[in-house]
Amino acid sequence: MATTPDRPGCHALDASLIERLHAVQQRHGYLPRAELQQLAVAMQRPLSDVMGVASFYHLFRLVPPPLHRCVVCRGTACFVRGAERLEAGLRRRGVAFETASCVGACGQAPVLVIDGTVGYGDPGALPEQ
Amino acid sequence: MTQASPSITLQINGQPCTVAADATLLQAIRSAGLQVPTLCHLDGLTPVGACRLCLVDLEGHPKLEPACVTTAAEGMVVHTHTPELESYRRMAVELFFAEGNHVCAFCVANGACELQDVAVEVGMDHSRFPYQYPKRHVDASHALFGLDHHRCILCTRCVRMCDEIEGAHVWDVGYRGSACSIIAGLDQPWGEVEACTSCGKCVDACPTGALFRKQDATAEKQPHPERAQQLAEARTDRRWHNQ
Ligand code: SF4
Ligand code: SF4
Ligand code: FES
Ligand code: FES
Repeated sequence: MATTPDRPGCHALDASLIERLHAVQQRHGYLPRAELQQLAVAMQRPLSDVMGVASFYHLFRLVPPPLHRCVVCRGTACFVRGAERLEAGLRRRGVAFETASCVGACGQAPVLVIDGTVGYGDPGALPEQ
Repeated sequence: MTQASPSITLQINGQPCTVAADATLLQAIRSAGLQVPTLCHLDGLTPVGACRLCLVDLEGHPKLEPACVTTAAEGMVVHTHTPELESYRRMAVELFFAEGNHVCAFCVANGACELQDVAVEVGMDHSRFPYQYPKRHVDASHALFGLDHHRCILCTRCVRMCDEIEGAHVWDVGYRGSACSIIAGLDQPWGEVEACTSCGKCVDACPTGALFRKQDATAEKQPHPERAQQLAEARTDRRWHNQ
């Protein structure tokens, strides 16, 4: 949080911080604490400032990702075609998943993204609630 | 504000009032001897317009504006206490209470809490919104101070005090939505953050019982909201108030 918004260069700093956070996440799959600390030191920023930005955006992960990544789409089309039942089914099986709001494949709803590959289910085959 | 700066005239609740051209509406309201409730504002710190309690009505302007971050302008016609504003203010205070866990009877700031004062000021005797009873935690890791997140209203006065006056920037705002909270360092226990000088200014700035001195028990907190302004003036204008 920049408490003095008129401080010169503060927006430029924020932008480059986000870029660098992306780079760290690309390298490690998430944002390890030690890397955040190093980044703060390198950019001469307060730790809490860096953490404030890192924790604000859903795209940044603060914990290591699981071995496989499963995303259930909760967008309107997927919702209508049974995303809730899909989630309930995964929960029953003990599968950890994240959610997204429309991944742009509404024609195939309900959509599930596994390790970056779009898959879809047959709403008829989903268990009742 | 220097004497030479050009001044402007506006009207507040029907009363004409002349202020420096760079004054905020809040400064204008106060200079006219009037007041609006505030929580996130603290003289001496950069205003952020976070709590929305100081909203005012500007004639001919389509929306309500927070007085603390709005610059006064020539000919403005300002109303501070319309029925609409009063109902919004009450609602805002009800939401503050419903959002956290404010159990005044056990609070270190009981009787000296700005949230309580504001609740009295806007006539809030109960909340129409269901209490959320969020699961929050208490950070007692600092040798001298504690932070009870249950009582934090996210006004960011501590963040600005530590950044702008102490220059340590221990605090910031982390996460978002209902998970939003004040964080120390990399969201570490406060006592582990080396940047903290243990000056206690954040505790002085906190309007509620969220930040407290460990030696203080129920209703023993002595707030010092005036210190931000005093220190800011000593720094920038070299004027001292601590005689
Ligand atoms: S005690 Fe002082 S340095 Fe430590 S967090 Fe509070 S304001 Fe910042
Ligand atoms: S700890 Fe106190 S000063 Fe800091 S944001 Fe919470 S209520 Fe405001
Ligand atoms: S709503 Fe799921 S892909 Fe668009
Ligand atoms: S005092 Fe103006 S928005 Fe909080």
